[in-house]
Amino acid sequence: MLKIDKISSRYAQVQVLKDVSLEVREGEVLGLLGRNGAGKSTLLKSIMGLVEVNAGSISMDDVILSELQAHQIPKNGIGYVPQGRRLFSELTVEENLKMGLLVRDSSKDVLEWALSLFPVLKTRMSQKSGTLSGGEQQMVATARALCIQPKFLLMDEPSEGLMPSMIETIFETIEKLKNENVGVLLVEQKIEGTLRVSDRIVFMENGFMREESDPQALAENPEPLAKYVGVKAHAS
Amino acid sequence: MSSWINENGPLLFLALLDGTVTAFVLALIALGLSLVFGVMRIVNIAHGEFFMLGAVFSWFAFDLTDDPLWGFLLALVLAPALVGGIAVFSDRFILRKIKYHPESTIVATIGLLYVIQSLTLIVFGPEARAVEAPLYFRIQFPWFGYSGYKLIVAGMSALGLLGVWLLMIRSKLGLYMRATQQDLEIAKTYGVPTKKIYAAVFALGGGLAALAGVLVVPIRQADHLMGLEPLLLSFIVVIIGGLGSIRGTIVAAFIIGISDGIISVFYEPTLAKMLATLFVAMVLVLKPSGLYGEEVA
Repeated sequence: MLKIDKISSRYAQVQVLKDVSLEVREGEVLGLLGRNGAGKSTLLKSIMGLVEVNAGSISMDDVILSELQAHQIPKNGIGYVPQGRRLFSELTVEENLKMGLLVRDSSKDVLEWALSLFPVLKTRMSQKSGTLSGGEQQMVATARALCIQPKFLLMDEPSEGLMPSMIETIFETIEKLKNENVGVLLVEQKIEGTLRVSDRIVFMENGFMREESDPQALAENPEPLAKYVGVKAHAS
Repeated sequence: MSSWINENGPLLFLALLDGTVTAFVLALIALGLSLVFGVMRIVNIAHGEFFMLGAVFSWFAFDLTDDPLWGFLLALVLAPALVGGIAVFSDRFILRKIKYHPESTIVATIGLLYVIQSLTLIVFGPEARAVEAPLYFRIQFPWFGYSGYKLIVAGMSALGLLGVWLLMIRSKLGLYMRATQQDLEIAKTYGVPTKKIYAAVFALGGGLAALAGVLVVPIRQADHLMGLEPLLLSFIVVIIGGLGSIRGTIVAAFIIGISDGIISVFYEPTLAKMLATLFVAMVLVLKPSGLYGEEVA
């Protein structure tokens, strides 16, 4: 279990997260919703050790992640798909995926598994990743994180800037990961897809965790969506 | 035209030979500077001192063994390793302490330059000292004889460049260096120990400059002030080629080296330096990121 226990995080002197607690179980998708600036991306970065956690703790099973250096965190099985994809654009697709494989000395089977989720990448292996289309770049970013063999995958707006068919592929992939017992912490702006794949929804506002709900309850009572995301109604 | 070639052909050939040797050595020195800037985003003003230390250590090795060949071989192994060690020490206790802040590192490496220079002056003395070439032979061309050692310098520099290229393309360390160069933060999220990578890059940069110093010292002499000229030339090369670009560095080293050879032989060495500086100014105006540098949005 990935456990975030009363953490506060800051950029320099700016306190961004305040007393945030939540848990993600293996094989569970937790959707994290909120307006821009609510602290969602900062929470993911805090888990990855990229933002200073100045109170509370982050742990996975018996390992206190918040006491580790950033580069030691993925070795425990935490994958990160950052906002905007942030591929190593001058590296080939193959080299990007190798970066994932090297984290935990994953075998070729893991690579095959990741590629089986995005077969089109097999034909792009020697291409510089910066020359791919947005959708293909998102596939590489996700496959790269999967090459770590993550127990938990943190995804920061994976559908951003993608065409609808590609967005559907991303959500289908998340569902497949759930079936593979990978826990997913999903930050998204696409409400409908998020509600469809998530087991639980957590709302954030101004750096605080405000409310937890489940997608079915939100279908019946969408008021939190209006309150924390600004969505008046949603398609169920 | 044919009469010009008949008259100046041998001179042109000599200029090309000298220019090629200069280009290979310059590429070796400038590549270290370029790697350090590319990966660590710092401008190492002390880079020329690493070159100087290579030459000075080479003199000590020669003095210790009293044999040009054994001294050269000893220096070839020890000088890059020792300078690499000094670079790691500097990284750990100076650059890391100031968090690799771009402006602060310029000041810090200027300080490092003076510390290394002053210590060398104290230990090595102010006079220039000659180091005998490990091998002495001449290659006889139809028009003139040419130093065989200079061609060995070019060949070994080429091997050094090839080694760095293989390291960058084929090894895990090279992959991690390239990933760190492109996105430090995301490299961390893929398990890259970026502090160690920084130390390795700084050591590699210093080691390459020291290797160039070992190779060059039998052609010229070792003295504590010899780091300045290669530093300036390296900056010219790195700016023309594009900061952080290996390919650009090598191409620019050949542009500068060959043109330096030709202009020096037919006109004056000073004119070659002037034109190189002018070329840098043109590149900065027309393509600020350099010939192969990444455009900054």
